Amino acid sequence: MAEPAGAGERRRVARRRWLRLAPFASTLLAGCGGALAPTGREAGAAATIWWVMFAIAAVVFLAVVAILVVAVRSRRDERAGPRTEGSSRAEEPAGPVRGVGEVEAKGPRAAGVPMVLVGGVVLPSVVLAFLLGVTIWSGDDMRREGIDGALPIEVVGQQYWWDVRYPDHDVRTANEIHLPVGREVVLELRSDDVIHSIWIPELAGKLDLVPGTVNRMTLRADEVGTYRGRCAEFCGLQHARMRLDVVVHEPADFDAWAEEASAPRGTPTDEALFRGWETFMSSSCVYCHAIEGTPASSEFGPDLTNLADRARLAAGVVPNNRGHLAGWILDPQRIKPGNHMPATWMEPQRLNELLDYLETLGT
Amino acid sequence: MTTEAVETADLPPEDRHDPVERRAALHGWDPELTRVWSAPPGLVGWLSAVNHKDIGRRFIWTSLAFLFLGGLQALVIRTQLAVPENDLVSAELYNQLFTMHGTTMMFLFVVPCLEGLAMFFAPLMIGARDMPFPRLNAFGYWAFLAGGLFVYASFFTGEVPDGGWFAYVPLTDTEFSPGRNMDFWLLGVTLVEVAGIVGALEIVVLVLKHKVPGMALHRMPLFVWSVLVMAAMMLVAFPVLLTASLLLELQRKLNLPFYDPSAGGDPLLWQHLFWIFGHPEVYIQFIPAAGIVSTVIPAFARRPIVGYRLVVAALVATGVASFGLWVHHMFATGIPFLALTFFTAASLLIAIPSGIQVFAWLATLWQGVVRWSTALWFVIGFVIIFVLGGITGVMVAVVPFNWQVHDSFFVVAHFHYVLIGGVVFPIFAGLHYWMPKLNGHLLDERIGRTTFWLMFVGFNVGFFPQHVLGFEGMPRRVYTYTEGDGWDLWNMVSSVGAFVLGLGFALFLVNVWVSRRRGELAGDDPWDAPTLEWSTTSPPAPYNFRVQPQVRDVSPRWHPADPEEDPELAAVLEELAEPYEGRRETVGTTTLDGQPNEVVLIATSSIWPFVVAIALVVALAAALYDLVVLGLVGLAVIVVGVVAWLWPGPARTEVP
Repeated sequence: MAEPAGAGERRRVARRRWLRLAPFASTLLAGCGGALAPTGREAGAAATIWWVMFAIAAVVFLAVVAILVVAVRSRRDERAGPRTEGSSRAEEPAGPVRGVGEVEAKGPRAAGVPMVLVGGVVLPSVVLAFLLGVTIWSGDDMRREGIDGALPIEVVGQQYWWDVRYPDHDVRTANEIHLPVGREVVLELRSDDVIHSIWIPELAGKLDLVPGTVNRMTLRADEVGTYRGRCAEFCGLQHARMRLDVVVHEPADFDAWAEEASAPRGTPTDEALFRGWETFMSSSCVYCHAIEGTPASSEFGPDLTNLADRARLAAGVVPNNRGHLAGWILDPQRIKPGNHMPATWMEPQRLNELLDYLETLGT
Repeated sequence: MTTEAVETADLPPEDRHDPVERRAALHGWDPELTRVWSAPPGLVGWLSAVNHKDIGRRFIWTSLAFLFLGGLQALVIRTQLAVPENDLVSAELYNQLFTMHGTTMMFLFVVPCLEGLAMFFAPLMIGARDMPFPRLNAFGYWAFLAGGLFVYASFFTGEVPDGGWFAYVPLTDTEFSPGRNMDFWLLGVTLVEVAGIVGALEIVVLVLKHKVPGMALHRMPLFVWSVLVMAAMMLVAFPVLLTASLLLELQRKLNLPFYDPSAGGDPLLWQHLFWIFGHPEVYIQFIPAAGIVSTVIPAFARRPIVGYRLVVAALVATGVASFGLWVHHMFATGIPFLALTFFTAASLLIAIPSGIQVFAWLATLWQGVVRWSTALWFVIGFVIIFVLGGITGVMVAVVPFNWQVHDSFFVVAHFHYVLIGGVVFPIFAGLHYWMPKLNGHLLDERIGRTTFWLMFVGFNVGFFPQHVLGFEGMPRRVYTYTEGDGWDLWNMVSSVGAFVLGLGFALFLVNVWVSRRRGELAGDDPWDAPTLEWSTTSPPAPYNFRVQPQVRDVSPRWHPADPEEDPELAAVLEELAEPYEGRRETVGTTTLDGQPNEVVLIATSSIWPFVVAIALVVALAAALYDLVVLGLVGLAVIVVGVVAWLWPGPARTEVP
């Protein structure tokens, strides 16, 4: 077999190029975290199901396309297109003979109805029965209830932020869920306004937060790290900016976090900080926000007891730093139009004192 | 015949004074039948038209206009999402745009377009002269147009619906949507639903009673079967949404507690009602689209469909089963898992009828001799895209996987594969195939093929990446995202694809324009096709067939009946070609075996359906703005209009 010089080499190079594409391709599918880079038990099960289904799907799709290509290419009528009054085909005889004559002339082909029955009924039935089994087996396992030692966490959806409580630790926080690694967790999901849905792709699928009912979601995070969660059910103007951070700790770190987050904040003794405290307590802030150990105890808005420890502000929208916090206090509607926090104007001096105080709320 | 007709009979067509007669002579139509079956001339005549081809054509072109409006909204959406943190549109406008995009495509484009195709072609394919209740038909069109314009009128008041096309409560209750935005939606969509229901009613009666002699159910064209199933489904599904909308409007206006958990209602009730409508709605769109495919493939494979009975069974089975899987839109709402598995089973089950149809199409192409045309290209594209969409559909039926991808861009990709690939591509196949019947001209094959490739490539580039975005955690209905999300690349690719797809749609318009301007005249049957619509002129005469045909085969043009077999029947049909005292008459047959059993008198043109539809929209506008007096006036006109509409008049058509 004569092969042009270098053809084998070229093919090898091509294959190597192809190999180099492989990690790229998997990056495209799973690159930036997400549901196919699971670090939790539930998401892991879903990802496994996906890869199984993907393999089946690839076979089915390629088979159908192959049959289609063979079917349309194997016997062609050269007279493509319509017969119009001006075309040469206008002279051709029309009617019954032309209609079926061509097919009859070329003879019938095997496998008409049997092909429909095998391809359309038998094979799909096998695949679908298998998938039903997968669903029942894995789904039942993912929606377990009453697990011993599971950590309960209450999550209340609000337009457009997350109110998070740990009844076992007496902690209340917002827009962040902290979890111990490897431990079963039950999220008790409620909503006081519209329907929301919580989704942390690396850890688990979604579950809705429906007014008037409590939904329970079990999950287990298997890797320490920070993951992004989002509201997945359209909940109004700022649905896009209703996010949360999920921080998975080593168990000891989690306990430390819980202790710190629930520690009451005393009245500052430093004079400048005290003025900031006073600003907070005497302005409209207290109508909505609570800080543990202070007179501020409204539960209408996010709890600020551990504000300084949070990575982001405004439900995961901007980084938590002095500049953004100032901007958020002065004009929250600019950062997140339509959220329920009103603008509060204050003189730079007072604002700075307030920011100084707020920055002490944490470790 | 009038004396004038006699006097001018010998003149060339363009010299004749009477417009009806001029048209008849131009197309070679029977002048007497043409006069009987035509609408009166002038604007009032145009508004009074009831002929199924006039109404069908109006449905089709109006719905295509809405397609382009919805498409423009989609392009704005894709431009907004092309780059992170884009401020092209505000959150408010974005929410309005995706709400209107969904509403437009679901309510104002796909269903009316398919109903229009059904109204235009089903009577022709079963050899009838018109729809059974042509005035109701006309009313349906005006109600659809009025409802569509009603929803779009919100753009002028600035209160554009913004709660999503699914309008989930409590977000759409007055507490969270105090404006009139959702009222525009609820009332307008209700009007469109009414239009859909009356159209469906007509289609069912037409198919069951007005087939020509010999067209037993087992010889009925598959497109007609599909629109029968579609119409029957609409009769069940649409009233559910109508009821749900009514309850929500009552809750909004009168503070009744249907969906309010604090007063004993349940927000999930809305979701159940909405999806008991909404899921069949998807199949209401897909089934007639599949019917188009089953029409186009035999014409270009040069043989009847393989497994006709299996395909019919599949259509019916899909229609029935589609009412049993609505909860798969609600897998994440917290319904107990055991209950969910029933809906998984049903959702998986419905893949089987689709599989039967796909393999029937493949087998037909395999056994046939394939003749290429643009319409067939669209069908090929349909099969590829629809199979992908069907596969992801099976995937999302698997509950644990669904929890991950539900309400993410994966689902956005999935249902666009099913709805654009599975419905829009067949509609375009149908438009390229049937255009000669709609306007007498063929669409240009070369432009058509370019249209196809732009749409096919644009669609896949536009929507395939959205699967990946879903895995990467991008939820639906977000007006923007941040750079840190890592969604930049695929969003940009998706947006580029969307514009290529848009270009394809625009090129279709160019093709229509070119073909009307200087397109080739089609002749009666440019495709040597098997079904009856091709045995009359292009465009068909107002009366469709001078002598209504008889049928002995599922491909009546390839295996025509011999009228001599039943000379008595042939004589009756011949007699019906001479209108008796100017009456509109068509033959009626028995439902199952198509035995002739009556001569049906069909209603003539009337302005009243138009008047009633206008009064109805006035009454709804009054309800929107709480104008009691105007509302009562509207109701009074409706009553008067309906009485006038049904008033027994002279059976004969007015001869101008």
